[in-house]
Amino acid sequence: MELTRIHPLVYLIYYFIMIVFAFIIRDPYFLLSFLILILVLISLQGISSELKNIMKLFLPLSILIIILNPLLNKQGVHKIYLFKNFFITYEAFAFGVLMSLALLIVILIFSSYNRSVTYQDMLYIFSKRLPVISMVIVMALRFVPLINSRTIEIQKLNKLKSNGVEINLENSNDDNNLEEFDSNISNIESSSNSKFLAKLNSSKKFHKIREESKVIGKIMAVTVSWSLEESMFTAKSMKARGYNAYNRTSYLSYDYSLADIFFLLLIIFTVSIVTAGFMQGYGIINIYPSFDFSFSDLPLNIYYFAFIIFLLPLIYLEIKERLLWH
Amino acid sequence: MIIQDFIQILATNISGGAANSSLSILLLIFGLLLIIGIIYFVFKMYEQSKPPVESIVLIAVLTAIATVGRLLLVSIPSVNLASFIIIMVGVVIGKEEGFLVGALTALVTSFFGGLGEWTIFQMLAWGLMGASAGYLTSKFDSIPFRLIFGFVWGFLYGWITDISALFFAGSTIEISQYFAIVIAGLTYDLTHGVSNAILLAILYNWFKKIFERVKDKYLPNIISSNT
Repeated sequence: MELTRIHPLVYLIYYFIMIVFAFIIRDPYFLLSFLILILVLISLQGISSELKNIMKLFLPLSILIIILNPLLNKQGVHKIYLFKNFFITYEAFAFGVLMSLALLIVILIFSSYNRSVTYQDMLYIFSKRLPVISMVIVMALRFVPLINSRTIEIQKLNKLKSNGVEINLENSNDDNNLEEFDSNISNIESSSNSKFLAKLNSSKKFHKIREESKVIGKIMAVTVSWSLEESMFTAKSMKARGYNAYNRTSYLSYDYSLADIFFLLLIIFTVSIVTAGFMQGYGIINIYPSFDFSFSDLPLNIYYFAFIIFLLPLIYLEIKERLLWH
Repeated sequence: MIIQDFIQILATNISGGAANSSLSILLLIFGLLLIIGIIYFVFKMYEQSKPPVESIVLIAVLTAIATVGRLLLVSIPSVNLASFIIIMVGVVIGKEEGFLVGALTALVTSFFGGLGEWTIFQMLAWGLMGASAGYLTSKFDSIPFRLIFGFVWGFLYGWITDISALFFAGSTIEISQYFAIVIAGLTYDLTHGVSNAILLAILYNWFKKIFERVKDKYLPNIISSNT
């Protein structure tokens, strides 16, 4: 989509500032509106199905934070006694809740980021400054599925072998290595406390684990040596075709458009207002020593509205795209 | 209750009067930028050494192997074949390659599993794991040292990556919060360390042979030998 194409570097800056804001902001009103707008953005981007997985990760973590923080942190004025001498503070509890809210926001921002900026865009940004490293990353990304399929192939072969199918291999270095592997284990056994190990050896479970680890080790070793050999052929081939003779060009190309400039100006304008608000204490609430917050004082000031405007452009772009494609 | 008391004593002792020892979030963000700078510096150093094609492909394939090792056992999060591969690269091929493979493994894994600010700490932790293995190459022939090295790095990796969780602490950060996170991740770090140590003890010689063969055959003069 040409109309809503934004330069990846602009995206990177925008998301980075959003994350820094999520780290700093502790005002419940700011945080709640932040959360709502991010949820709107995510549902517009069509990754609300991912939300279930995110919640699976997030809920236990947030419960841990909310429970652990009051137990460890005894600052604050308002004490709540649970037992005779055991108390938690209202401030520490509120802090835990706000902290886990911020955590949720950051996780959501990252999932939205992964949607907006693909890894190819990221590599485009890298490739100007670090051409060789981005080449390594591209190659590694290509090798991962290849090596994965090789591992599966070796696993299948190993299953056949262990089921009694005979396969004639030209060189059987593997068996030598396996013997060495066995002697390695027995070396360790003899060098360390033998009573404990004798007990372990007698148990069936340990025997099973040992056999399994032997198989995993073997599969790993075969995969590694195979992939390393093959990769060296790749390298020779690349050399023969003249890699490094010229500078490489990128598969993607981006130019700064008028939309990018507007976007950047909006970011600069709103961020400077919000930062000025931070200086005066808007958005950052002092929780310790005393957390005096009531939901009745609405944050109807320019800093809050600047913050909301800062969060809107991506939602605007998504809605515009919807309308255009309708 | 005993564990709770222990945690509380630990937290109050180390933070030393809590309120005074708070540092600001800006310091943490500054630290994050510093880490990015360090990683960028190492990358740039590698770029400027004009690496030959063999070295580039070798690093790419080792990164891919470590990533597959990480993704294969993703259901058992702390059993970590990636750490083992990274340590082996550091030992056999060199400290710079160890750092690069470690840092890039974290980055490439994040393309599959999702990017976050923890990625940067993972990059640092795995990078340092590979580099430190490269510095201590000569000691790796003894089994007790291998066991200790793998075990210790299991914990160090956990502690470095735990720093990323501190960003949610807001404008003031207490050291007690960090300890809460570390204690929460204790079992994870323990299994990571133990599995590292076992893999290093059992598979070290076998993998050393494989890596050295490639190194001698294809990169005789390119990578300065450490051994």
